[in-house]
Amino acid sequence: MKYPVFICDDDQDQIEQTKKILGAAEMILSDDEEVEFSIATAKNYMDAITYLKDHKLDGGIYFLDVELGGDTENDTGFDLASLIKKNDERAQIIFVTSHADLSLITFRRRLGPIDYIVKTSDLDKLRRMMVKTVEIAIYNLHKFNYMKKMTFSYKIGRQTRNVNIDDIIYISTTVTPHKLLMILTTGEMQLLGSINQYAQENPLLEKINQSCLVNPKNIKSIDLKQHRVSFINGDVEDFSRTSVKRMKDLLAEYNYKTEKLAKKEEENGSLT
Amino acid sequence: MLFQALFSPIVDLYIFYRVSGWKLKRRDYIFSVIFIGICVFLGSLTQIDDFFIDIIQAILVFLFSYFVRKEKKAKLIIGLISFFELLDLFMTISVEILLLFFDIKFSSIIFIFLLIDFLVVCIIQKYYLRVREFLNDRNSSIFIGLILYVYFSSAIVYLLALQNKRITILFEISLSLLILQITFSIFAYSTAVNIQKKLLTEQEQKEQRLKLKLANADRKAKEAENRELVLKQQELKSEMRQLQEYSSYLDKNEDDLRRFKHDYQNILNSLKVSAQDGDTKKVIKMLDQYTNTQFDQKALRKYKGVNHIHEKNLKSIAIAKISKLYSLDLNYSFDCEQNIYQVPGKIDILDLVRIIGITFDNAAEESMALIRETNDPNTAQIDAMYYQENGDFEFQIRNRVRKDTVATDKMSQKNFTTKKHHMGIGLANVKEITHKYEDTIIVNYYVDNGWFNFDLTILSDEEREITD
Repeated sequence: MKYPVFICDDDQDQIEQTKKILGAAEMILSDDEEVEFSIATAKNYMDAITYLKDHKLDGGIYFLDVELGGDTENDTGFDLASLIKKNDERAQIIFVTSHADLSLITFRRRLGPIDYIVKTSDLDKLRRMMVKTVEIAIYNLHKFNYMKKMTFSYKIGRQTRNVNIDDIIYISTTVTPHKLLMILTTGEMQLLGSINQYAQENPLLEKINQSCLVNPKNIKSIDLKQHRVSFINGDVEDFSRTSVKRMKDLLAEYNYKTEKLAKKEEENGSLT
Repeated sequence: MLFQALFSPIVDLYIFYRVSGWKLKRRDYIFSVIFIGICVFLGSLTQIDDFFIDIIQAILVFLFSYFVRKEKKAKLIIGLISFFELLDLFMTISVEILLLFFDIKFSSIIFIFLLIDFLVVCIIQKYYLRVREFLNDRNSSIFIGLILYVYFSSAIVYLLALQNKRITILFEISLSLLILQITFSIFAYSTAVNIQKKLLTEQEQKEQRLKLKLANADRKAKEAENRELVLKQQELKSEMRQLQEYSSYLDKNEDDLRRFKHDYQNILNSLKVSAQDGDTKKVIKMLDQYTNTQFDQKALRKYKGVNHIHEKNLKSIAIAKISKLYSLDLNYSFDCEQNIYQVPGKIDILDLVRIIGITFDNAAEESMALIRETNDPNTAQIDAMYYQENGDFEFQIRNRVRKDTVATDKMSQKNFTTKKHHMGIGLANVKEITHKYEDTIIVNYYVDNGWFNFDLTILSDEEREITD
């Protein structure tokens, strides 16, 4: 498969080096399928913009130097990245920088996942890192559509945050109106909105009662008699009478363990 | 006498039920009929004396109450029985005395009995509550004991002295003795009650002493609080030191800049010469050398972004924690792109500062542990940022974690942090603080791809109104 690659660096040597490594990467990564890169380059911010305006890339891999020459306050690689992301939704952006302590956290917040490579004179190391990063980028491109379907999105202010649906165990209401608690396999998040709204937006999740939306994949066992389910993290929730039939379908589909379940006491008291 | 044999048990039952206050049910009425029947039958047998009838009555009532009614307060039942038996006996004695003093015809005895019965009923009607109290309060044992005592002594007097129906010396002595006994019992009872009261006041004094002790404890708590204040002051002082360090760092940068300006001219001149000679290698070497000797990259970026924080509490905690990470020689980055002047919502800024402090400390702790495990300082990394958009304030921090630190299934359990391990006590404290601001603060934490992420959003006032 052919992947468009765009390199923007004010150092021609660096561009050549990257091209060389990409050439090697084509060979290394052409395992299951042929990997080929069509490479375009630019030496500064303005050139890059002009090129990208004329050539709309879809699902491109971008190597951007953070410290583009010129006015460093404004036309940095970060600004270029924001622009690219607007035009190419699937863009895989890789920053190249000479600073190990480059701060990406703000840009991750704005643009989503971004990778970076630290320039080093150790060519072997640089090649290893670059090939690995490109491999991840290709993987992400392949998975993009699937991942989009598998993503739970919600908004806080103007920011959209994404969570992999597989990580969600369940979402439940809290004592505070409009505030929901999302229990993940990897942690927990608080979000604003209503159970019904998210139930409608995410058909993969199942509403088991007025205040609880669950991921059927992360149910461990079920108690049909007492209308309860337990999740892989040990939490237990009741499901409503009206969802009994649906739960039986899920039971048939996912083959949950059936067992008697007891609800744990809320541990709020132990906070004090 | 048949008449009295009928009335006496009725009055007895009346007193019993009235004082006990029990609700009457069908079985009570059945029992009453049987009880009266037995009493009348016993009364008609001339060879049985009153005392014996009393005993049988007492046993009957007790058995009924204890086993049929299932009243488990045996003491109360005994008290009730002895009380009505005593009254019964008094009535009999008073009638006998009246008969002795006044020559009353046999036919009018019935009226006297009726009169006395009526009187007793009236008195009970008026004082039954008081009697019930005596039988139930803390002195009830004394009260019941005295009733029994008076009853038996009266019964003896009655049986010995009054049977021969004449005023004899024996009768007079017995009667005076009886009165003396009664007086004595009343005296004994009131003394016992008084002693009780005295004991009570002693208890009160004890309570007062306890209160004093409590006040002392309070004072100690206050002292502890003061100590805490002193500690906080020390903390403030150390923060102050860090601020001073920051300002001297800025001063030094200023000097460096001036020196650079000075050097720049010289370097440029020498570069020009080398460049004109076409010796590019030498030019690069010189530049490299200068860069390596004159710039400490890490130090230059030490406080990057801090200059955009204008809220002084947020600024000082950032400086304090950054300088801590720097002195621990950890890889870190800190970002604050926007100028931040204030934090939305009615949040105590010190609570926010505490949260930020805790999460930085957690990140530093975990990073140190990671470095100890891998022996490579470059495996650890901490990224943090302040962010403000649309009025919302955001704080994010993430750090690389050891592979086995977080049993994620445990972490994602509701309230897992209250168990005070895994991610440290820190996160539990953070949760406790944010608990106060449920409708303004949003807290997320999760592990993703080897990073522990913590982010906190304070919703702007408008946004909160929308959600309300």
